[in-house]
Amino acid sequence: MVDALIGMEVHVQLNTNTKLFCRCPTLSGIPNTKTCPTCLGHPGSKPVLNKRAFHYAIKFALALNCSIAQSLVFSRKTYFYPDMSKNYQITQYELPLAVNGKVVLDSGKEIRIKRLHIEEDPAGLVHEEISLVDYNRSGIPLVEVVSEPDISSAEEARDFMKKLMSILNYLDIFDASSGVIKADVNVSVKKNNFERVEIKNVTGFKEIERAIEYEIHRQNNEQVVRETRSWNADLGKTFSLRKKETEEDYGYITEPDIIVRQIPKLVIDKLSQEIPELPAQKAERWVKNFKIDSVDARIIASDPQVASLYEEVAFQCDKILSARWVRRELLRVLNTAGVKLSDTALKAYHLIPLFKLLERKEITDRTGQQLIRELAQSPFDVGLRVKNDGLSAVGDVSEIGKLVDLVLDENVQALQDYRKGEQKAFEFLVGQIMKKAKGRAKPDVVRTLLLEKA
Amino acid sequence: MVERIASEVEMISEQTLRQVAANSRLVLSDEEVKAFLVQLQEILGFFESIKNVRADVPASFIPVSLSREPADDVARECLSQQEALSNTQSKNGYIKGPKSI
Repeated sequence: MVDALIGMEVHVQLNTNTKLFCRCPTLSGIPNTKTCPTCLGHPGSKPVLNKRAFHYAIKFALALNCSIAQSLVFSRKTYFYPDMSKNYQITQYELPLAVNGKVVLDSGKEIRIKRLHIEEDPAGLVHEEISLVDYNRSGIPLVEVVSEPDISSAEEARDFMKKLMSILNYLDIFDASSGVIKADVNVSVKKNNFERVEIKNVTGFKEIERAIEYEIHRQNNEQVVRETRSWNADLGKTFSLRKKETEEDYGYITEPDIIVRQIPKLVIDKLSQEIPELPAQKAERWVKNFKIDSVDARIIASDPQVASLYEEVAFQCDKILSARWVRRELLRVLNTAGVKLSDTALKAYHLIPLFKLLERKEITDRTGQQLIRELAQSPFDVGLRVKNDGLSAVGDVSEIGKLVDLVLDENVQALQDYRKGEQKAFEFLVGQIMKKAKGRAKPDVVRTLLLEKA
Repeated sequence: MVERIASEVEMISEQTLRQVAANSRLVLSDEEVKAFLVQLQEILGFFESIKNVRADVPASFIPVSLSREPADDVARECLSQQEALSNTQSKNGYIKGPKSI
C-alpha cells in the first residue's frame, strides 16, 4: 500500500474563439465588455453549444484513450456564489462526455482517467471588502479531466500534468500563452486513514507540486479532517477554506435548455482521424526505427515543434547524433534562456549543416555547442560562419603538438600527478590544450599526442 | 388540504429545509422555517398527482422539442459595458457582488 493517494481534477481552457454557450469572444481586457444576456445569466436567454469546443473535447478524450458517451447531456450544478449569476453552472454530471481513459507516465505507471467532461468557466472575481465581478470569463469553455487517485507523489503529479500538456499541444486545442490550467488536487495519506482533503484551484505545474508536497507533510504531522483547502503560493501553505459541500448539496438536474443529442460514431471516427501521431507513439517509433535513445526520444517528442524540427533534421543527418544534439544541447540552451523553440527563429535548415559538420568531425563538439547557443539567439549561415571565423577543427599533428608541449611546460605539477596515476590530471591537461586551441583542436588527436608526450 | 398533505407525506424534513437554505445563503428564522416547511410540503404534494399519470412513455428531460444545432465558433457583437452594467451596482467596470471570502 502506498503512503499517499493523489487524485487530480484538471481544468483546461479550450482554445476557441467564442464562449461555450454564447458567441461572445473568449478575450479578457476591460471588465464586462465581452458579455451578452446568456453569459450574464439574464432570464429568458438560452445557451447554444459551441461546436468547436464540443469537437475539441472529444479529441482530447480520444487522445486520453477514453470511451466516448453515446449522448451529450448537460446538467445544472446549483450553487450560490457571485461568480455565477444564474446560480448554477452548466456542466456534465450524471453522464460525462467520456470515461475510462489513461495516461502513461515516464516510469510506465498508468494513471487511470475516471471521467472527462465539458463545463463553463465562472466569472472572474476581485476580492475586496465586497466581490468585484468580471463576467468576461463567464462561459469560457473548459474541459475537466478527473483522474483516479493513482498518483502517489508530487513528482508523479508533475509528470501527469506534463503528459496532459504535451497532448494538448499536439492537438492544438489549448493556448498556453492565454489559457490557464488549474487543478483541484485531492490528497490523502495512509497515516490518517486516507481521509480526503481537496486543495482547490492550484495554478501551474510548479505550484501543484509544491502544494502536494506541503499537504503530504502536513497530513503526516497533523490530525486531518475532510475539508477543502486553498493553496497560498506566497506563503507555501494550504489553508482551510470551508466545509466541503457534498455532491448532493449541488442539487444537480439535467439542463432543460440544451437538447440531449446523440454523438454519432461517424463524428467520433472523423475526429479520431484528425488526431496527429501523439508523443508516446512518436517516441516509440523513433526508438524502433531510428534506434535513438529512449529518453532522448521521449523528451524530444514531448514538444510538437521540437519533434517536428528533429524529424526534419534527422531526415538528412545522422539520426542518433541529431537526437543527442537536439535534446542535450538545443533544449538545454532553450531551457537556460527560458524560451521555447517557437520563440526563436531557429529552423531545421540552420541545424542541418551544423550537424553535418559534427557528423564529419569537421568542427569539434565545443564549437558545435557554441554555434547552437548563437543560433538560438539569432540564426545565421553555419557553413559561412565556420569558414569566415576559421572554426574548422584542427587535426594537424604538428600544430597541436606545439600546444601540447606548451601546456606540459606550463603545468609541471599536473604532469607529475598524471605520471603518478591521477586520471583527473590527464583530463585537466586535455582541457588546457583545448583552451589554448580555442576549442578547435580535434579531441582524439589531442588525447593521442598527450598520451605520447606526457 | 395543507394539513392533510403535511401529515400524510413527509416529503421534506426541517433538517433538509435548513440545509437547502444554508446552501442558498438564506438566513431563515424559526417562524419562517415552520411556515416554509408547510408551504413546501404543499408544493411537493402537488407532484404526487404525477403518480396517476401513465408511466409507459419515455422519460423526457426536455419539456419541448428543441432542434438547436451547435453553433459555429464565430464571434458576434457583445453588449457594451454600459449595457452590461445597467441595473447593477458597479465599481470601475466591475459588478459589485457580496463579499465571498
